[in-house]
Amino acid sequence: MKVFSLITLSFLLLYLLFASFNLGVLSASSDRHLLKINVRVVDGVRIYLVSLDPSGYDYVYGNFYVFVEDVHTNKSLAWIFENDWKKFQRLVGNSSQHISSGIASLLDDYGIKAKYALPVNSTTLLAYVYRNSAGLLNDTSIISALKEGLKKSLGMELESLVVFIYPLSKAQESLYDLFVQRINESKEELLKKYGVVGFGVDFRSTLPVIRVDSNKMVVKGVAQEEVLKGIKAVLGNLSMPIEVIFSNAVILPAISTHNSLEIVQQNHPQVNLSAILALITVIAAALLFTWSSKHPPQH
Amino acid sequence: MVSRDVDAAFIPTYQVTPSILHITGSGGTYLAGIWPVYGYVDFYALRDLKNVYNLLPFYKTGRTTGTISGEVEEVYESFYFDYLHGYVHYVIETTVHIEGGDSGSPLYQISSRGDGALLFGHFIAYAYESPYTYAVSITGVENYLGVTPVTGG
Repeated sequence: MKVFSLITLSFLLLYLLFASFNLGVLSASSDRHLLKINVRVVDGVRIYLVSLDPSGYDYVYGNFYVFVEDVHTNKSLAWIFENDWKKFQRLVGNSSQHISSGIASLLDDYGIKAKYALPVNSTTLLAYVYRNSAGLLNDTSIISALKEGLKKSLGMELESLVVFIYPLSKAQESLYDLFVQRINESKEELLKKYGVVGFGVDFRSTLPVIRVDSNKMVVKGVAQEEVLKGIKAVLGNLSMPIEVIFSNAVILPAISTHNSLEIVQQNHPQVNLSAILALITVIAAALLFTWSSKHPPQH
Repeated sequence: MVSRDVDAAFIPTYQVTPSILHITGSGGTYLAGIWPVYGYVDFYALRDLKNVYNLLPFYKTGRTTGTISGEVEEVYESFYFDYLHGYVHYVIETTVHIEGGDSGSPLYQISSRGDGALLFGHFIAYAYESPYTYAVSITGVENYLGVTPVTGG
């Protein structure tokens, strides 16, 4: 009877665990972050560096940064520490409407390739810097020269430098149009063979992005590696980091004349794991009970 | 065209002040305001200045769920929608919550001075049991319908 009780209890616990996940009581914790903020002080200037954190992705495959979404994990929850981003927004204030590429050219004088830059106030400069220039921000002599230069040209007393580091170099950024062209030319093939549904740009990581429908992959019987190899074949010699998202989201029109649930059921038959597991538990318990009744414990 | 294919309508008109009813507040206390639409941002500007626009929250005001804020996640040059059996160009993926009946509602930002709305696109779809929602950029509206939205700018 002891064995029977233990096995039944294990089944019940397993069932409860699955049911909790399905009901959303438990979910995968959001402890992964696609961006990170590091703070350092160089020559008295506090430098905030916002940069891509590859460890936030599921894995890196060649040039591909791969994120796998499911019902418990989605990328929107994993891009940065919320508090860090709020800190970044506080630092740059409401300057977004007045950002300019003109001031970025000032940084060029110090070898720093920036896309945009602007003074947030008399002591803080915001800059969007290309990946290959990020290392220069550690150089004390460059920061000292920048302090002097900003004082002369803009009258700033530089205390804080807020820097977003693009994950691409300027040369890689210029390849974006080629990326779009190559995917666009093969999009029907990529959809048909691998379930590739979209391509564009990730708004926060700023990487070119390719979206793959995992539900279609299941139907086609293809694995993630095959999909990645297929995309790589289409992109050819394009050497730039690219984000790939595998997602099982089912997309519905937002109009009120549809019964959305009907569409979901048509497109994507839902299997209720809880119900199946409950059934298995009941059958297993019944079998064990029958077995233990026929084989009473010998004392 | 059957009625279920009709999404949002643009009505040619003039002598109007384009505006968005922006509702803020929580806990049942709502403060409504009419925000003049002072301009719009096309797909390319949104894509190329992504780091600029993601510093401010995005909003939508829809018939079913009212005004809700969120973020833009990705912008897609082209996106295949199963329910349409085809591609839509210039798609903006957001986490701005919408539900059935919110289709056609505007995706916008409030200016940093708080005196008007900047229009980005209009919602068309949402992902089931997922935070993602989808809008077509103004660039798509221009291309598909051949119209440019009227703004006060």
